[in-house]
Order: sequence, then C-alpha cells, then structure tokens
Amino acid sequence: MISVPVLTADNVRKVVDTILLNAEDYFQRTAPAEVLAAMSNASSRWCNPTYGPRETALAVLPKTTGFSYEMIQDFGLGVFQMSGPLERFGSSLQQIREHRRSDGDHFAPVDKGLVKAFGTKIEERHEYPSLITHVLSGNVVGYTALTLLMGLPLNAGEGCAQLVKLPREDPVFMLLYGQSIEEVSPELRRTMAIGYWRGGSQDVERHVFRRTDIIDVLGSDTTISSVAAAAKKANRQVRVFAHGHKTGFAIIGHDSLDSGTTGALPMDICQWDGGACFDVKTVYVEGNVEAAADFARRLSAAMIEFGAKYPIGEQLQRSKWQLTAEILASTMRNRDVQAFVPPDRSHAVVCSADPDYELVGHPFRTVVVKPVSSVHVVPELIGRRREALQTVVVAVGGDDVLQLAEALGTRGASNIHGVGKGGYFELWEPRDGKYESLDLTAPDGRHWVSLCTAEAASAGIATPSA
Amino acid sequence: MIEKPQGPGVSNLAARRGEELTLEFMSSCETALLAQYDRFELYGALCKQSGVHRDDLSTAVRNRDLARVPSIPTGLFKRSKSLLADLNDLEQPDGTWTASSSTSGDPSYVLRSDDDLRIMLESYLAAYSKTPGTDLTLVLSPSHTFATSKNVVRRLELDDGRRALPQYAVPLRGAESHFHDLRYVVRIDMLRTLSNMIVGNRRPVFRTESRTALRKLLAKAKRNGLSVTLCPNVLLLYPAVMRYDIGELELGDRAFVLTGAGGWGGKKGIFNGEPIDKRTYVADLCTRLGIPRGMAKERFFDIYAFTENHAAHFGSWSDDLSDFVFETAGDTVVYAMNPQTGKPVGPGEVGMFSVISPTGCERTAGVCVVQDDLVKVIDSYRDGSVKRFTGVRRTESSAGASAGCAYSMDGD
Repeated sequence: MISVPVLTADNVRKVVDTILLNAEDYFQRTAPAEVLAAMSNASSRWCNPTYGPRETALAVLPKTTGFSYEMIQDFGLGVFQMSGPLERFGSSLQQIREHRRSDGDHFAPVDKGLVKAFGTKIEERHEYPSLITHVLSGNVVGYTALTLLMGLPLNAGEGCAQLVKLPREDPVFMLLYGQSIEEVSPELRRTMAIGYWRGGSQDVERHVFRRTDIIDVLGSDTTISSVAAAAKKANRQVRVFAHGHKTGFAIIGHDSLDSGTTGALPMDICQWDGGACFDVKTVYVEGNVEAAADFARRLSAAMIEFGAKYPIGEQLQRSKWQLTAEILASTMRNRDVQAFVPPDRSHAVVCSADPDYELVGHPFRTVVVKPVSSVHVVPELIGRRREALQTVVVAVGGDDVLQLAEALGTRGASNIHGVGKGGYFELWEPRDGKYESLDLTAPDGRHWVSLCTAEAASAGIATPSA
Repeated sequence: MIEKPQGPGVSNLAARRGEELTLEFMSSCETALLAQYDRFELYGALCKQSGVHRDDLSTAVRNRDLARVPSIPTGLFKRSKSLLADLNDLEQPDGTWTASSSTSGDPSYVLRSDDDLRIMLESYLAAYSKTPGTDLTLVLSPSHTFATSKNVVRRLELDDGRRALPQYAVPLRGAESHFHDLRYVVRIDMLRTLSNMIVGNRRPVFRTESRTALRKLLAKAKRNGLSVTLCPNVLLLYPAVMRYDIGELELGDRAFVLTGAGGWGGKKGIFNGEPIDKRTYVADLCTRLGIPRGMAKERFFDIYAFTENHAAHFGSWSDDLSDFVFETAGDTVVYAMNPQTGKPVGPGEVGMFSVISPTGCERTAGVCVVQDDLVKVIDSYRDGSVKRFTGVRRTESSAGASAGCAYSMDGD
C-alpha cells in the first residue's frame, strides 16, 4: 500500500522546518562526492529488474498515469539505465562552469557534445538557496527524479533542502524514488519532503513560498503563471525557474528521407503518447509536396510499428477517436492537407504545405509533415514559436548541422539531437536553455544550446575540433 | 415549447421485438445512415477513413452488423471544436439548439427539430414510467421555467438566430407532465446572485429550501401517507437530505430517489460538491429516509443520458454490484466499444458507450455516436449489442494532456 503524504496548513511549518534543519546539518558534514554517490546508488537500483520499488512502479504507474507498461518501463524507468551518471553530472557541470566564465560564444565540447551560449551575459550573484521547491508535472514518468539534482552540492558548502509537490496525475513515482534514497542514505532523504497539496491551497502555499528561495515549476503555462503569481505575492525575493509548454521540431534534409529516418522518427513523436515537451509535432522535409507526402505515408507506417511495441496508454485509447476525427475534419476543410490515420486511429500524420497548419495543441501521437525548399529556411519558420522552442531533431548533412545549430540557437532552440534521440537529453545539456544548478548562485542570463554529437554522428555530423 | 408526443408521425421506433431487431427499425437505420452520409461530409470522411463506403453502410445494416457502422465521437459536438456547421443541418431554417450543462466549461450543441425534441421527451417519459408513481415529487434542480427563461436561453444562443435550450429542460418538461404534485425545492439565491453579478459573474446561485421548510413538507407527506419521489440532481439532493439527523425524516418504504445526468464526480454544470460514492450515498439515504436497506433496488433509480443522443437509459440500484444497472433504451441499439480496437465487447467487459438510433436526429449527424464514457456490459442481445450495463465511468483528464516539461538523462 502506498500512501501519499499530504501537506496541510497544520503540518507544513513542521515539514519545512525539519528539512531545513536536516539539510543544514547533513550538507555541512558530507562531501559533495559522497552525496552524488548516494544519489547514483539510489538511481542505479532502478536498473535492477527485480528491485522492489521498480516492480511496484511498473504495477501501479500504468493505472495511475494512463501510460502503457512498455512506455513506462523503457522510457520512464529507462532514465536510470546508465552507470555512474551523477559523477559525470558533476564533472560536466565543472566544464560548463569554466566555459561560462569564458565568453562561451562558440560551440565547445562538453562530455559527448557541444555547447554554446547565445545572448548577453549578465553578472548577478545570489546566496546559495536554503530551500528549493519543485512543482512537478505529470506528463511524463521517471524524468522527474532528475529535478532533485538541482539541490545537490557540486562544491563544499552547497546542497539545500528540497520540497517536492507531486503532480495529481502521478503521485506515486517520486515517492518510490524517495524510498530508494532512504535505502542508500536516510540522512539525504531527510533533507527532502515529497508530498501533495492541491494547487492553489493558500494555507499551504503561502507558507511554502514564503520560506522558499527558488521555485522550480514544470507544467502548463497557466500553472506556471498562477504558481509564480502566488509565490511572488508571498515572497518578493523568490526566484522562479519556469518550465512551461514546449514542442519539438524535426528537420530532415533531402539526403535523409530514407527508411532509417522514418524508422527512428516515431521515437521522437510518440514517446509519452505525444505529451512530452520534446515530442516532435512538426517535421520539415527538404523537398516538394510529393516528397513530403511520401515521407508522411512511410512515417505513418513506421508509427504503426512503434505502436505495436509501445501501445497508447489507456486514457488516450478513448480520446484517440475524437482527436483523429478532429484532424480528419481539419483536412476535409483544407484541400492542401492530406492525413494518414490508421484504422485503429492510433496516430495521425498530416502532410500540409500550408505554413499556418499546425497540430501542436494535440497531446497525442500527431505530427505535421511540411515540405521546405531548403533546411536552412526552417529556423526562420520555427522562430515564430520561440516561446515553445526547446528540442529540435535533425537529420542533415554534416556541414549543415553547425550552421543550423547556430541559426536554431539564435531563434531559441536549446537541445539539438539526432533523429530518434529527441527524448534522450543528457545530464550535461541545458534545461530549457539554462544550467540551473549553476544559476542557483550566478545566473549568466544567456541562452545555452547543446548539440549532441553522439546522436549527430548518426545524422552525419562531424565533431569539430575544439 | 416541447409538447408531449401525440398522434402518428412521431414515434420512438422500437428496436426489437423480443430479442430480434425489427425490420422497420433496420430499414429506418439504413435510410438515416445513408442520409447522414450524404448530408454530412464529415461523416462521409470518417466512414472512408474507416474503410467503410456508402454501400457498406447498407450492407452492414442488412447483415444486422451495426457494430461496423462508424460512429461520431460526441466530443466533436463541443462548441470549441468549431464543427457545429459540419455536424448539424443548418440549411434547414428551423430547429432548436440543445446545449449540455457545460461541466467542462465547453458545452456541446446539437440542433434538433421539434420532432426530435418530442422523441427525446418521449424517451424520458418511457424511463419515468419505469418508476412507481408517487403522490409528491420534490425536484432538486433549477426549474423548467428557469431553464427556458429569457436569460438562460439568451446566454446559450449562438449567432444564427435559432432558439437554444439547455438540454436539462427536456427531462424537466417530461417530469412535469409525468409526476404528480411536482414541486421545485431549489430557488435562486438572489442575494448571492446579485453579489456575484457585482464582481462580474453572471451565473445564478441556487439554494435548496430551508431545512425546516423541507422537513415540514416531508412530515406532512408522511402524516398523510403519501409516497414521495426525490429527484434529480445528486449534488443538490444528497447534501439536502444529509442535513437531517437520523430519524428526523423517516418516510420509510414510501420514499423513492431518482437521479440523472451524472454529477457523481462532484461537478455538474454550475453545481460543485464533493465526489459521491454511490454505495455510501444509497446507505446514507436509506438511513436518513428510513428506506429498508433490502428495498434499495426498488427505491433508487438513475438515468444515463447525454446531449448528443435523445435516449434516456433507465437504471435501478443493484446491491450486488454496488452500482446502478441500466437497461438500454428500447429505441436504440447500444454497443460497448473496445477503446483500443473499436470492436464491440461482450458481457463482463468494459467499453466506450456507442449508440445507434435512426430517430431523434433529424437535424444532426447523430444516428450513431460514441461517448468516451466507459461502461461495463452485464448482458448482451444475441446480435452482440448491449442489453444491460453498469459501471459508467466518465472520462477523466488525460495524463498526456497536461502540457508541461521535463528533462531526461541519456540511457547509454
């Protein structure tokens, strides 16, 4: 039986006081490497298929979240399929810190990729926070564990208390992950409180926000606005790290319109049934309308194969009938639009030359394929959606990639990946263009862009020498 | 405005004689489906996408294979989808828009002819006729007069000059004509409504008659040996009865409770409350009203209906299942569709509620619609369609629908 701790007006003071005291004591006498090792240890337990909390998660989460078992197993808990990641996290961030100290205005190698800063650097200093509050979203599973990295120490004297507000859609996973931390380091676990309160509960939030230095909010733009407004009202000094609605794009060069690309692209479109921030909603294909339609048709076939391995979650099984009917209705009105919807309505691929035709509002396995004369016109096109830009997957020739990355970075993209790797952000990559672990004390105000060369290699990107 | 059906020409066509679908019903289905295919391009497109062409519709009907007929998801009738012109016959000058209670804040709109409205009314009357007649009916809902008042109608009207009605006006009209001594015991709370208006909220606030007034009414009924039906809005009815202490009302076996139109999740239209567990609700009302627990089956009723189809499916309480068991309305063919495959499921299985009826949809593409409510089939007819169902589960918010953001690690 899993019981979800609920924060109430009666217990919130005690909870916050306790984790603050515990954090002050624990981080003062524990070396950063030891803390990261403990977190690594907790995470690595999830790689063991017979690990109790993992088995519980796989039994419970498909019911509570509405995602399929396979999706949660491979993509949600797949997050932990790595060895010693947190040691890498620490060393990568030290590299980035160095790069930030320099001008950062060129793509420099970090870990397996390249990073570059865009915009003007600012000089700002803040005290290391005492309390970070994470308001989590429920559109994906597993990844939320990584939010806890923010409050872990990279250097002596760092590390802080963390309070996690569980999402209504998935109140279970983080509790199970917390159990793993408890197993490896009860003292570290006691620096964190993980629980639920109804968003907007003033009695709870007023106190939480008053004591919080940084609020990390993942959610819809509406959620972010309301949390930020309530937080600022309670505490004018609070800083809000906002992670709102994002949408992914794909850019496919004419030399990459092959089955390798169509075979890999469903990974970028269908993970989390199309509801994750990195999920691609628009694919720009270099070629004419006929080439785009052919690509769309083949992509639809590949998505059927993906769906056989990773079925749609229960919730969307019901709404897929309506969502795809809406898409068919939109294609009926617009003669320049062609839809590929399989009989089981498990996805919709739409081919449209209409520059205004979009499906970005659909949290489903939907994508629009659009022809473009050249991949280099795409940054201008997607730049119109700057506020939603984050992940772009690319399959273009080697020389074009750096050029594209420059243009995409200027427009606001932050994570550039190879096809099929849109959901595989690495620990050294910026999060919505920021390195928040470094921004805790010294935000540099710039927009950071990462280019994953491991993925890029599959798309023909040559790593430039540093 | 909505008249009780009379004379030939308008009738709710019985789907079956015994177990068998009637020729007349099937023939009407074929005609209605072909007309819908021809009149509504969107329905044609949905059929083609499912690999069903015009002739296939006829074949499916003639083979008594109605499960093959593509259905229109009811969500498309939501105003926000901007498909009302694609789903309703706006070329005809007449018709009344019926609008749902807008629990989601996005009402569904269906255009209905006068005959359609009468057929819907008739369906409710058929459902009501399955309840025992009582001497007094206390209605915990805004009144029919309120539902058809200028303010309500004006707020619902679209810009096409047609009349609009809230859907719940139809069952209320039916209740007024069917039940004896019907009294509305919910009033507009003028003070709170005016206060709301000052801050820009134009929605009225309702309050149930005072505890004393309601008790007096029920005490008088008890003294006179009258039987009483309490209906229909569970979010008003349940708290109203729970205000009384045990033993204060005690109508005994002369009390009947008829709910309808959902609200069990704690929200229905403008009414909000706590989610209601049906088993607790029945137990509590038995205790408060003095209904013998063993008689719950004959005392607690519910109606399952929705805006996009005219039919009212009548249900009565089952202690065994701790839920209401509904019979499918006699002028419909119902399937529970497997959400994944779209194929009908059988007894014991759960599927999306899909209904076919050739009548009641003269002005709309409503011959066959599928709700995303899940129901559990109790038993089926020989042709595979649903005879009785239970476990109505409304669609909850989708996990994937909450747009947001997260980041991940590499799995290397």
